[in-house]
Amino acid sequence: MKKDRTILLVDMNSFFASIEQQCDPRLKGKPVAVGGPAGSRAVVSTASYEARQFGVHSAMPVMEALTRCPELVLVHGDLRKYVDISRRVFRICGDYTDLLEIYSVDECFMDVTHTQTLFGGSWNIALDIKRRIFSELGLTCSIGIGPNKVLAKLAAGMRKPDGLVEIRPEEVRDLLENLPVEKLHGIGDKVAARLRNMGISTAGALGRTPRDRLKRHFGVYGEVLHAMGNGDCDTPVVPYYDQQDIKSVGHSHTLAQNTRDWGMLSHHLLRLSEMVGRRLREQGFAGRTVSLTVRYADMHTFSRRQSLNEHIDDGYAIYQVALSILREQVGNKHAIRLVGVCVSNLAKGFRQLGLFSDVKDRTLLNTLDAINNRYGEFTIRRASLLETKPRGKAPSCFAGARTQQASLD
Amino acid sequence: MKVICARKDLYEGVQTAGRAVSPRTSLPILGHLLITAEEDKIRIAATDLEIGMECIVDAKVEEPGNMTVPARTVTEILAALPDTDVALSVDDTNTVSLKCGTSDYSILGLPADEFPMLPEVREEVSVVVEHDAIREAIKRTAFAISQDESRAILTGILTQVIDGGLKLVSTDGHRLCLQECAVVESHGAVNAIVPGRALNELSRIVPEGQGTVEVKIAPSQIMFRVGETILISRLIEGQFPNYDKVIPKEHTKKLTVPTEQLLQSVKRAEIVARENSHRTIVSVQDGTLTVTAESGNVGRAHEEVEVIKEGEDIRMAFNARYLMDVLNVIDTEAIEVELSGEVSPAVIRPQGQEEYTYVLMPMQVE
Repeated sequence: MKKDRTILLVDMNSFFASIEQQCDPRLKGKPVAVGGPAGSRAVVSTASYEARQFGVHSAMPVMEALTRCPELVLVHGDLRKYVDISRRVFRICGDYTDLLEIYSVDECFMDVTHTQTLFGGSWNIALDIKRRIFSELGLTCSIGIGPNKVLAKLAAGMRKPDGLVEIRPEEVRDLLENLPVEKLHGIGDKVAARLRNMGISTAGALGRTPRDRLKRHFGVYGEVLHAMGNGDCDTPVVPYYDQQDIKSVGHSHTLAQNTRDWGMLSHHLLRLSEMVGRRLREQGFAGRTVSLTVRYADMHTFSRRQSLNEHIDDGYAIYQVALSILREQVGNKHAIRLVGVCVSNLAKGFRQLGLFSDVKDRTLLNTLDAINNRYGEFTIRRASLLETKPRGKAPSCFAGARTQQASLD
Repeated sequence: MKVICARKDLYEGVQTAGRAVSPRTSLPILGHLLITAEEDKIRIAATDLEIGMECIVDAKVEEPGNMTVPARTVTEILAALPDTDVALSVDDTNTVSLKCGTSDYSILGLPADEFPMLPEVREEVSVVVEHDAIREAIKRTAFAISQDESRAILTGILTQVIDGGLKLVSTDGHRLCLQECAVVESHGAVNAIVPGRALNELSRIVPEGQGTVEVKIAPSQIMFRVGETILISRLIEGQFPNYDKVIPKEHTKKLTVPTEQLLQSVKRAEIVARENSHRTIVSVQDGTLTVTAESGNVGRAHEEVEVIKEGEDIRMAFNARYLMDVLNVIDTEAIEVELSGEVSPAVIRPQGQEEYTYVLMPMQVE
């Protein structure tokens, strides 16, 4: 599997914004951003290339985007539309290989090692995909071709929009020599900063750093970093039918205003916990570790976790643990901007039954789930969550690639 | 204060009392032992404000009084000293002098009046129990208390004095232990929730063999007197769950199983099961009980034990650890297991001993 692979990464260009421009021709050629309403604390989820010229980018607060580009057209996102288009894109890609890994709503990896000869080589496959996505959906994408996932991803990022770049094995060394480490997929700001502190700023230098030194600093991950520095990566393209079980289930929420108010914080924790509980039960999981993530106004983010003696999947039980972490380990000294609840240490089908927990509780949960499955999340909910609006049944783009993979079937 | 005492006696005393010293404490005085000299003995006391211990050691008192010493330092010094007499005294700067042969130590103490008074347990209910009875009862119940501090009530053992009898009940929500205990004498009736730690400490200081433990229970404290040693604990406040409600009164199947054989089988199967939430499948067909476990990363386990069965065949899933826990504390040759359905609680008893009941909730079979 390691040798002589050919991997493609298909990356849709400013996906949400391009779809909006395609659906409404008046928006074509204009700076468009998909995001929350002006005046709120929402952020831009995607900006069209016209908007990017003004310096607008994803995750930028909408207010700031409007300052930079006053003529920016703000479009409220329509997740159903994006998920539908996303499925169409992946179906096109799926015509060229069965080894297709959906990486996010607008990106997928394809392993065409064994199928490329059927279509006249990887370059032709890429051209064909680009042509079909453009003619069938009116959208453009960047495709990277490389001997592994890291290099395919790197190649796709080299020419945007509408690019097609291939990195050949013999070019790897020269290419990586002066490449800043953070350009490598999988190296984030934090790791990059740590590497810089060690005097490593380019991929070439990373590859020459002795493995043991990296292992001392990063543990097992040091091995991966070393390989990445040399342009090696043996991570396979994992199609949805081979996906490993999920490891955790979590939700987070950026508050409308930074707050230290217990009432407000606990309200959001309960809502998020209920959502996590629902998703756990939907997949038949229960978890033993609850983590609470908090982001302060200054963007400092951290998590605290607590492990339990038993596996839980009831939103209220998750909430109680999350709240106790908030009260005992985090406190409300500083105003909080974002809270997240995550349950990990999952097990399936091994529910230890309780002596005192009534069978009635289980029946109640099952009934609530059935109602919410049919009419949408939070159709029926705790009275303390009355202000939470039902969410309808729109699919979530952010629900993780896995859920989408399953929906391809 | 000035006393002379045999090293061995003093060392035993500080070790016993020292068990109540909390290793992590924000109050320095709680890391100390209070030593009080009176007539021909000294009292050594320690507390972490949850439990308190006091023991008495024979000594030659030259000048009565009291002092405090840091528990860890003194215990370590005494452990390393040769077996002769130790002389202890204190000056008015609270510096303790400890002399033994040619060894001479000055140790910084704290003012004795800073040491918290151990509460006086005003007797309302009292029980006297034999050493072996209380040791056995603690052994058979303490393992099932909850470790989850968020459910404080379940971190204690319900100690119930009724009608001239004593019952200990523990549960972590998944299983429940009930041990009825014969008493030598009793007075009054009460339901008290005793921290698991206090009873574990008690079983350490109760010697094997003949003798009795005197128990006094007040509304918020309990006191145990074992010989010359006193253990005091606060009680956990709150309502213990109604345990009687969850003990099944009827069953449809009954097994008689050799204890040791089942224990060994479950122990081996657990090696595989622990990778999989400790889940083992116990199935009984005719006269054979099968324990199986499976884990995607390890493989499979299959064990068989011959049993006597009344009623239909059954297949249930249990946490192997919960089975091992109870089998480890039962010393009769066989156990009796009463079952009803695959998601109903199982009742396990030592054969011929109605006084002990273990109720175990199964895991869901999916």
